[in-house]
Amino acid sequence: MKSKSQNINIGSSSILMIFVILCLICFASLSLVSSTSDYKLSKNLQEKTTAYYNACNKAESSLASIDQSLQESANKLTETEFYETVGESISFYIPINDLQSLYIKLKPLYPTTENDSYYLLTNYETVTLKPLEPDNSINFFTP
Amino acid sequence: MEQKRMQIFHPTTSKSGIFLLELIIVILFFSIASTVCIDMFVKSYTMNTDSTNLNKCIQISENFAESFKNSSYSQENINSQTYYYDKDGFPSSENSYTYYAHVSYTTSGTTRSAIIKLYTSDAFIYSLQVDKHIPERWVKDEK
Repeated sequence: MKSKSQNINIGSSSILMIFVILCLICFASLSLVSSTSDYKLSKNLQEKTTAYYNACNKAESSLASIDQSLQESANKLTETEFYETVGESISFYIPINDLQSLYIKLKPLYPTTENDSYYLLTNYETVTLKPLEPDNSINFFTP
Repeated sequence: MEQKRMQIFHPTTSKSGIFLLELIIVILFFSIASTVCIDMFVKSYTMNTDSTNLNKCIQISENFAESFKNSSYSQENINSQTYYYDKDGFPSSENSYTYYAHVSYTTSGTTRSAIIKLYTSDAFIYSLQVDKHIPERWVKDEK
């Protein structure tokens, strides 16, 4: 009977439980934090993609109106007059978000046949207009 | 004799009782804590799946949008089409798909639009509209 009573360790199961629960909470929290940040990143990507294609759609409607006006000019004017009127290049910016814009530059072309394009796209790119402000709130060790 | 028996057995009975009580409390706390942790794991799994689906659908829609923007205007005489993709975002058959894209085309003036809607087998994930300017003279020639 004596040996049996010595085998019961009061408190050991509590310690084990505390350890197991701490492990569970740690892993669950880490997993949740990681997946939350992944999800936020995906949502950011979704917003940026939608904003970029909205800007592209606006650019396409601008290109449509430019094409229309170039066509009208080409129908009325000679080649020399055409280039004198419209200039060497046309460029414009379409804002994507607070920092970035879509920069489009095109070169007007006088058509030689009826089906020719009235312009040649030379730039169609995303540019950062405002200077980037680095986050210097944390003081890193610099030797 | 009875008193002697009580003296011998009382400490063991008391220890077993405390141990049993501790075990009950441990199981109770463990079940509460594990319920909370399992809930966190499930949330994290759901968010992870959602972000994976969103990332893949954005990637598929971007690929589609770029190919639409660069395709020949004469290739889009269809009103709507459905494309199937596997879990990695590659084209797949109708029987073994993870994502599918329903693309509908509309024309307004000289602008041709593709509305790309991405779905998993049971839910809508993402939608993107892409416009493309097609000069009227080209459309007339095609007709």
